[in-house]
Amino acid sequence: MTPRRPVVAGAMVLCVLAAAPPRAARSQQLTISLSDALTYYEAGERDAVVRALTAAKGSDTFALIPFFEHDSEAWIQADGPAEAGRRRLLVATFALETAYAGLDHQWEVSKAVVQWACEMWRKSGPPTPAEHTWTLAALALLEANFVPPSRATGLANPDVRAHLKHITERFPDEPRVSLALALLKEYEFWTGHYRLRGVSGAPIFIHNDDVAATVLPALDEAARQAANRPEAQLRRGFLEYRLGRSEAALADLTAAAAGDDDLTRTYLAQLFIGWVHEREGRKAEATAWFRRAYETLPALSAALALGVRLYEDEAVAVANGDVHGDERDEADTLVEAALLGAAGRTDPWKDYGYGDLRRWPALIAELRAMAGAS
Amino acid sequence: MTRAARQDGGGVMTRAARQGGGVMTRDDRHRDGRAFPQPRRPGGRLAGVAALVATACIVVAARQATPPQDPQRTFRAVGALVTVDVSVRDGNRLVRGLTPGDFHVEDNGVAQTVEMLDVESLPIDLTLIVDTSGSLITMVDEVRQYVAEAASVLRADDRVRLITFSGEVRDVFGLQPATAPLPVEVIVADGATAIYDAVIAGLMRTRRADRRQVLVVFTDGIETNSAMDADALEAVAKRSDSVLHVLLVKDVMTSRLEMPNYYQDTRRYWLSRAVPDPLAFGRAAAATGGWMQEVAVRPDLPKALRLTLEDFRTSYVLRYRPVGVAQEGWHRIDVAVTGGHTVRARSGYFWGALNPKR
Repeated sequence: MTPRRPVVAGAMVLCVLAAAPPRAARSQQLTISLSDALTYYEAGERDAVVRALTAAKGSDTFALIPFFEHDSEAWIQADGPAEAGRRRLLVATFALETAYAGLDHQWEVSKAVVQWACEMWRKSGPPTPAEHTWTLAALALLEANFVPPSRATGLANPDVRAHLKHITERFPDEPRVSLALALLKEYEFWTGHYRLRGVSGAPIFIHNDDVAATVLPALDEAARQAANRPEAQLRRGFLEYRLGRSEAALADLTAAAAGDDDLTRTYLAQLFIGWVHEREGRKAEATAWFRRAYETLPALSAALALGVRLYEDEAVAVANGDVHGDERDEADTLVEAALLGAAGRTDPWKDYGYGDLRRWPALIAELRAMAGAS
Repeated sequence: MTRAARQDGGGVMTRAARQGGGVMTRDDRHRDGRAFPQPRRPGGRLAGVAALVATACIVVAARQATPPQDPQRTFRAVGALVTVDVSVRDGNRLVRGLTPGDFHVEDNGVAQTVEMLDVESLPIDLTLIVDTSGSLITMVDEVRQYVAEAASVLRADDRVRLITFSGEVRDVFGLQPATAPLPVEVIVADGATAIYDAVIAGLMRTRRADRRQVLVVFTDGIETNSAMDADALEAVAKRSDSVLHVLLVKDVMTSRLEMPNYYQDTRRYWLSRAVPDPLAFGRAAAATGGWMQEVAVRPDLPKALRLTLEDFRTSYVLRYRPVGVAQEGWHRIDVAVTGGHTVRARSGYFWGALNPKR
């Protein structure tokens, strides 16, 4: 059993919502050390700890960093060398979960926590399979927040680039690096030029199609590795769609839709194929592909795309005397089901711009299992 | 006065019309996606005289006694019945007490005989579609208050639903009596903004034919990551039975001074399906007979919300069975009223959208 350590001086006070439902637990506020938090986490009370860390926002959230620095190594070594490897993974996984919890609210802290854990790995000795999985999960998380070029350096996404450098140093053959580099190019494509426009003077990105010439070769390079190929084809297909090259888009997207290894990729490829057909005026094909996407994953983007087609189809059917009159009812049912099922599931389209973040659920689940925190 | 000048195309008035030009072309109306909820009466004295002359020249089709009301069976389009919500204003004042004979309705240019439904007998389903994206993060408490206030102006037999949207669309609570306690505390703000998705979902979710359906969207209008686009929004709006109003709040939090860490601590969405079209919301609202109103400052929002609901509550509901027109395609609706008042109504309908089931 891990010995309880006193709360490190200056460490933040965390409000732990224990395993009870959040609303009922609000009154149960505890003060906790990192050791306690890790023990909760190891025992499977993962959500409670993560909620507690999320609740820390608004306080001095950068206190999270010394929180890790001061206590973690002692906790890792507490049960002896035989357990140290697993415990290191558990600490690193816990750090990732903490960072993920702050994704939308305290990104600077999240980023610092990931960087701390990455450095911990690099100092820990030779690379391990556990570190490999961890580092891909960290990449997925960092890709969730691409940032434009800084005024000081002119460089976009320095954190992702730094992490890719670390991955390359530790795992030189990792194929995901080339895909991530292509994604950075893609980011530059979409955000290369913009100007202020629109309501409220808000910035709306006006995409620079000329930069596509640099993205497609990068995606092709990534696609040379079999592990990357379907995702690279998906991204290439979407790019072709946005550039108005429908037939090229269909070729890539059809290839990306094959296979059952990643339902989110299949869903997106089917959705994009529907968009291509819709733009080309092939309404029946569009309807069929939107329906396929919805059958793959009943998420809202496919439900709405199919619903719009059904709205138009009903008008055509009724006008032709084929009075079924229930297409709009079906659209309502689809949307209702998608909205009801949305809790706890992200529409893949919403994460499409965030690269490997779509792989986060699988990667973090794998890490939890490896660390014995499931 | 042109036919287009008699009707403002569902809440859209051009600058020329607002400034007294009195003449608005169909093209003007489609280019300008904005509506003005408190429009000045179009035209000055000359235009007013012209309006009176024009109205006097209108030959109103045979008046028809209103049949017994049976909202369950007769409200929305049944067979080839077309139902139109019509708002009539004299400047800022809602014009009440009109009869069917005061209206002149044309379907694809052919005058129609209309009847008027008793709006008092028709309960309202209000769908609030509220922007809870990160750019509104400083307004959460106000938004909760507005939602509660909106429900408070409804009647006991009315119902209210809340859909919120940031990057994701959430059906916070389904239709429930307006008098029920509303769980507004669940409203939180973060993330991107999928306005097209949310409004289309809201339009598709308003299906009861025996109740008047109105959607009020509250947003800063900064679209980022919808899967749908402006064309889809307009396609659904044109086929919807509901009236869509959009309240566009302009002074939302976009200031680094107000939230110094917001930009560095919040995820940005950078990849969209298409370049957003800010005017699409106005066009979609206009297609349904609603408006898009720009609310300059936050304190004006509750008033705008009240006026929007009051306008809908007191709108006339006209109905007619189209005669003398082709039974296919898009049908343009033009509505004029005695007295030259400002009229707002849906811009038309698809023949095939007249679902016999409704």
